[in-house]
Amino acid sequence: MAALEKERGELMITKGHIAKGERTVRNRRVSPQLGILVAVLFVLAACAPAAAPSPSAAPAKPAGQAAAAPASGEPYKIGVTFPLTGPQAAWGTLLVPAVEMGVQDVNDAGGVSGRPLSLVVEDSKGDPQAAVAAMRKVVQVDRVPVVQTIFTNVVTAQMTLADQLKVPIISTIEAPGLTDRSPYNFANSVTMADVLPLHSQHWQNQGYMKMFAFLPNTSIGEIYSPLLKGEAEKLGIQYDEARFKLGETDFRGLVSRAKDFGPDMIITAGHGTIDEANIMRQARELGIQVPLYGSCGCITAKSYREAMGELAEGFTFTTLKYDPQAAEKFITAYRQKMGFDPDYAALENYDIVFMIRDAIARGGYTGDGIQKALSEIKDFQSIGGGTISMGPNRQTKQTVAMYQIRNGQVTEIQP
Amino acid sequence: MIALQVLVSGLGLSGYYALVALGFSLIFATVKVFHVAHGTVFLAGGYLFFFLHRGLGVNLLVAALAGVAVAAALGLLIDKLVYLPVLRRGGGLFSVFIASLGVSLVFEAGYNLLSRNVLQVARTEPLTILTFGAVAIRVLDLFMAGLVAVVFGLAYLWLFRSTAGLEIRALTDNPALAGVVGVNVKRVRNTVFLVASALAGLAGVITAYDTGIVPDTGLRVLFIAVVAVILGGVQNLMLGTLVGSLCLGLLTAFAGLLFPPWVSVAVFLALILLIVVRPKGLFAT
Amino acid sequence: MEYVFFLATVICVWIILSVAANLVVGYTGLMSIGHAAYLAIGAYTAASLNIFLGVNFLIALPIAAVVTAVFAMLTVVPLLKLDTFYFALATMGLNVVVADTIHNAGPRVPGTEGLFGVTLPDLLASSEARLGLALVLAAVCVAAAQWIVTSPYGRSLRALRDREDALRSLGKNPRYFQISIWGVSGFLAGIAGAMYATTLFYIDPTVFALTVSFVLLVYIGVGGLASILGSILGPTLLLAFNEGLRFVGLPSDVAGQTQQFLYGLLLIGLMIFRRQGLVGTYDFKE
Repeated sequence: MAALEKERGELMITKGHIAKGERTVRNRRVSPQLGILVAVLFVLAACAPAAAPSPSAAPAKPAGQAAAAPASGEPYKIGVTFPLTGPQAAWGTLLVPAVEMGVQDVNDAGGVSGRPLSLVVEDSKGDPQAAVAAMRKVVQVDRVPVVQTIFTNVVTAQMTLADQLKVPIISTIEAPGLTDRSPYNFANSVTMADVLPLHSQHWQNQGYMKMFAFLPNTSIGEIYSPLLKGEAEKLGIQYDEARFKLGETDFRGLVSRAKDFGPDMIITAGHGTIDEANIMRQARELGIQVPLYGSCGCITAKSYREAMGELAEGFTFTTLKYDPQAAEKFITAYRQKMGFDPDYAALENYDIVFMIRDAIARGGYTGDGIQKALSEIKDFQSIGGGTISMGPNRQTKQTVAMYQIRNGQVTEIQP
Repeated sequence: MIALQVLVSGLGLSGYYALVALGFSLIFATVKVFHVAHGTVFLAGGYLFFFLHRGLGVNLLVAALAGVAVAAALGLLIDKLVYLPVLRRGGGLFSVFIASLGVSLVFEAGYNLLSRNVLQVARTEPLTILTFGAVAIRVLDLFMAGLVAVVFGLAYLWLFRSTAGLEIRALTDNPALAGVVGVNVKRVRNTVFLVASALAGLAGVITAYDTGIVPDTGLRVLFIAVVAVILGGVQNLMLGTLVGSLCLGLLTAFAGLLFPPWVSVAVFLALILLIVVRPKGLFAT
Repeated sequence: MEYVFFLATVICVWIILSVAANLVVGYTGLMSIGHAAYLAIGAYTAASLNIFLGVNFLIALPIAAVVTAVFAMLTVVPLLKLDTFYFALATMGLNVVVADTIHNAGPRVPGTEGLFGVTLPDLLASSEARLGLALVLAAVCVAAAQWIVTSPYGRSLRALRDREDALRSLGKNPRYFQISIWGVSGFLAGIAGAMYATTLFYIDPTVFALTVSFVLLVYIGVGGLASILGSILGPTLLLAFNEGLRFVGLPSDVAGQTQQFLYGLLLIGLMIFRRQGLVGTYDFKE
């Protein structure tokens, strides 16, 4: 329909269409203005599925189309369903640029066999209904054979669809076990099992005798709790924990519990949400002085770091290998665009774009082809400097390292 | 002693609830409007404060005053642009309530867009604490206690020792008669919205500084304040609100200690029980 | 196209729920702003029966409807003596309590936050078949509601809404009508919930939060109170519009906020200018 031209990025409803709407929709009980509103809505709804789908990227200029890249020709489209609005919107804003830069860099280096990649970005809103709608739109309307996505509840809703449509989805979720449930569900992330040895080594070296853990009252918490507890008991460390609810802003009750226990150290292990930063901050503000730890690299995220403010100093955490030298080009580009350094999730998502590139090159531009090629990823070079291989259950195994905030800088340390 | 620590936290929380509840019950008692958008006003103060102080580096006091002032103006504007038109065109108080919900949604969209749902904490420095044995008291909590005392003291003087306060109380008791005896209903309405919204804005500012705010915080604090108001009795502006806020502060603090995932449930169950069993509050005769 | 089938199925679900809500809000004057709670009970009952006990979905659905109806009737009884405001507040409270309780203590597929993997009988496994089922259910629910509101029972409901004393003077007990219509509403909400669970593939408590009840309010408010046609128009227009925003060229990171913003404006506009909605008949002077 000529009236809706996505490429121009503007809504053009000509007077003709409104007039058409008025003729076809008769609603005698409604005043003329409301009639026009109804008509416009009907026109939009009717036109919507038929709108010419064109490859478009996220709000900024589409990387694949605008770059004066060696890659040229008909682009290979990839679907991206990130939460651009809703409770997880912050991550969407941070990560879409990382994905776009990945596409740009892929295309600059020749794309996939000379043809560029391009993105179709849709808002998953972080909730199941919109997640499924977004995925259906990019797969069934825009015809992408692979979808890059994020967030556990989104992925859980999308995996059944991935199975049905035979389109692989790949995300950075850290929930263990989800990738087992569908042969089309892939995850590129660091899980507790990967980093626990580092922490364990560190606890031994530091000689900790009592530890307190904060875990979310979600499945991840249920899975991580026995892992942490078991490891602590193995080393003869006294262990206690508290489960927090995501989305709260005041955790002083739980923090009081930690204080009462009198631990040598405190660790938070969860989804990497801002609650963890809050807990840490409120722990300090309730007089707890012991070292603080995290099992993910979330503190590299801008909002997390800002929530902790000066208290981030000394915070120790584990994440995928994040070597500033290896990733310098990406870090600089991201910093230029966003005004701050990329976080660990940005790196993981950037890597995913290249993994998809490889998968298309090896497996072809089909759902099953990409699925097979993704399962076979071996010794992939991460932008952060480490290597990534796909495990048998479609969860990647990454090189991990331990870091600490020293003088405001993320510094790698040995356990 | 962990219970003592939590008690202190609870007392601190009740300060915020008291400020919001006082404003809310002031509006509800005088003009009978269930001002859901009170939470929006709370957030407006907080977000502006955050933007000015942490975003632009404006002086703390100036940013705080700006937050309070803008919140006050916003509250008044909402009444003039939304509530009064509803009432003028034949809508009743329930319609005003729904319209208030609408206002909440509109602004929440705005806050979502501005903040991307990221928690905004309006400071980088840690809070200063005083330690008494195993109990840490944040200086901010002491400040809040003093502030609430001052606010309630001033409110008492205003409501019970001034003509303006007399007019407000007249409106609370008998709106029809108040108009007849010459109370300038319009002016009282404006004053009430201004003052109540200023209080909400103040609470928003300090919350932004303390634990930070997300677009969700407005409605959440509002509902806790509503429970506090119902608990204390909607007619009892001073003592009832204070006692209700204290109870809610302690409830949320101890719930946060004993069964954190159930705090909202506890608050809303309290709401339902109170409404069903004793809607006039614990102090009603 | 499957995308459209999916959308249409979701719209059918919301039509059923809107009819359910309109029956109590528009026709009986019971201001419920927490109906998502009943959607949740229906969805979780049907999904749990199907996933954990292997009950065939076509049997789980009516069971879920009955369970929801009973739950609805039980929970409304203590609230009936309350006046409009407090009633509405209490229903909001119920919504939050139900959603949070499900979140904290409800059934979960291990490893996820909710329930996924509702299996349909092979006959219904495709998008088209699911849409067919949804359409049939929606049609049946709409017809049933239409029959109810045009019957003498329906007249009594409206009498209850407008002049309760007149109803009493005829010797009829308002409580009987309130509780029974609430049960019907619960039954319909249960159907909607069960269908929702299978359409979304995955449900978790966030799908039934208080904000969902607000959205429902916008749908029936826009469509029109006390109008079955309104309960069809509202969700259809708004859901289509909402998804249509994806195609319109708005930067995707603004579209979601736009929807919330518009819904808020709609509520305000409706309350000021047209409380009966597009085609509704109840201009509540409350």
